[in-house]
Amino acid sequence: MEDWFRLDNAGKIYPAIVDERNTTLYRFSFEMTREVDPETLQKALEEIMPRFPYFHVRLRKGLFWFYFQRTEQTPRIEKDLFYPCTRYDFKRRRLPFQVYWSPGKIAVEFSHCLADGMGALEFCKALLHHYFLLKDGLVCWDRQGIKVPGEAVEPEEHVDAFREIYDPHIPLSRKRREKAYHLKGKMIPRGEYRITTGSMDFSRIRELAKEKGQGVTGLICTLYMDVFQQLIYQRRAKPAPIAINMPINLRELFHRGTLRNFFITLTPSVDPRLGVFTEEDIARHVNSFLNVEIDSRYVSQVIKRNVLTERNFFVRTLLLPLKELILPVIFHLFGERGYTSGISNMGKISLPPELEERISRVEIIPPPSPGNRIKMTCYSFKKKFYVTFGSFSQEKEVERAFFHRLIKHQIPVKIHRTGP
Amino acid sequence: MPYCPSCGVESDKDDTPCPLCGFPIPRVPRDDPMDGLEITGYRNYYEHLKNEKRRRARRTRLIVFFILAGVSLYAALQAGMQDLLRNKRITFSPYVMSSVILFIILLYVLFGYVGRKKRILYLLFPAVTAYLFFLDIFDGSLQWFLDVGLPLSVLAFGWGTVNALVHRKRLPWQYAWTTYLADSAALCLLVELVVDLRMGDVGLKWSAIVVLSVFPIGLILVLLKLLLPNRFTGRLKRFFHV
Repeated sequence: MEDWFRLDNAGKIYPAIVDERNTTLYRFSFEMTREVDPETLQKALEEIMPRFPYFHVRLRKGLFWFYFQRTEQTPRIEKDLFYPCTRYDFKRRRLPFQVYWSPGKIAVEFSHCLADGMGALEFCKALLHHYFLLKDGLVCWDRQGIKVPGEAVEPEEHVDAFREIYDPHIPLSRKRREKAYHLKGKMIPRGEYRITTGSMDFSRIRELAKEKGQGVTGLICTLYMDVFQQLIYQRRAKPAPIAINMPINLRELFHRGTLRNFFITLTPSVDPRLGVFTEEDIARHVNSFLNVEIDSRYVSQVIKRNVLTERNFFVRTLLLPLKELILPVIFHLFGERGYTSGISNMGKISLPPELEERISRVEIIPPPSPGNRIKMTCYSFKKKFYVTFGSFSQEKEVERAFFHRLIKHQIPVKIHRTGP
Repeated sequence: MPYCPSCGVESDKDDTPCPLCGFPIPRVPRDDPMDGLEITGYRNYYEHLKNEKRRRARRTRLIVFFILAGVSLYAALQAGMQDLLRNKRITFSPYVMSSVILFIILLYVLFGYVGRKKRILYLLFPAVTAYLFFLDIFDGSLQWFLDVGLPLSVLAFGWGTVNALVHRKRLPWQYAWTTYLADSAALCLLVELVVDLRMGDVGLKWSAIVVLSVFPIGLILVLLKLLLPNRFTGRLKRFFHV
């Protein structure tokens, strides 16, 4: 592996937009059944790092682009003292990921510049596996592909899969996004981030999805859109399209094993300007949208559009300080402006049974963003299904309405909250 | 597990407001070994970074202050040594030494170590007066300090005190600026009088031009305050705000 490497196509824009609100950091947090031993965790982290050399890097500035340079700096675990996903100074001081501990919890924060949730999850699994190996001598009979120190690093783990998939000969996707509805109102103070997690029985939510003829992702997206529609009418806001940004993991679609970013975002949307949509209408719309769009051929078109922008001569030769000025505006105009909120479905978090019995709960916190004041992640762990909201908004109406909607569908929800 | 009696969600903690609707959840007895391990509150990293930045700036300012003060003191000592070695007695070095001491006092004020603005006046007035006194006395006798140096110093102190008082009164900006201009004009008149008394040629010269220039500006400001309706002053304030 080379001493330095380029940021991948999805990660390229993130370093330029990082600030105290737009931190690009997301968090995996594992609550333990026993007290965490920080010394063993530090040792586990140091021993696991050679297995992930592409994560052991510092973000550096070139003349035209940011790049990652491998570093000898030992990653240090830190006590979890600050609001999650708010330590945004990794551009100057720290590594683009950080492991935190508290007596009952191990948490890992990753910047989207470096990897997406799936890549970060592989790292977390390896860290937890090695931590318990060192602490309790735990041996898992079926490791389920968890990476361990000493293994050879597969070259496919650190390739920029976007460049491999990019096909210059296919026609370009010409879809344009309109300005979507955005939450208004006051924000919580800078440096704070409100997390609300609701947990429920996975079987109940799966039954409900089956009743409605949807998948779980489709169901969550439908309920979420309906909540925003309800908000528009309650607040008498000017109707605008409700578009939900959904990252789609491309690893299975294109059979790639990269641990860096490899996703595109799809945005199912309904337009309340055309009239009121019932839950069934939204469900039908979301289902057909997801069924059509999650197709490797259409996805290739989106990838082509993204890679082509990156390969544009003028974009490439624009000096980095100028890029840092312009890219936040572009990100706002062509990115966040076009969607109301985001849902990241991380699917089932599966660990070997020996590890699962030592972890009581998992929390995945979405990256904060002032453009989309509220974002959601959903995932299942053991027999529970979790929905986590990360929000900058002072009001909690969206979370409240969403969980009430689930309670109305006879699904009991338990709420955990972090922050103010 | 505690439930919210109002909205029905289950909560992590009892005896707290419901995380969704704010309704008080009653206390439920339980025995959970993880209770004590839970983190109760997070700190704000943005504020932490800001405080750290401020701390670093304070430290840098202190270092720069000591470097500047040290270099100027060293230069004054060098001047004293050169004076002694070359002239075999003290000739020009007291002037250098007293200037350097005043320079360090000014630096102390400029670097913001004095604190309240009132204290700046209380420090600068005796410092400058003493400096003028020493500049005059180093020749062996007082020649200009009593009839020019001391009165000018007192006038400057008076001007500063009046302005500080006006500033503290938080008058409307038109009145405040009229007062600043008026006492500056008065200062010019008095300075000219003191200098003229020393020169033996008393009469209105340049200070009259200052007074004549200041008068219409002050008048316009007062009229602006008295005659213009509030909505116009509000608009002006909004338009010219810096």
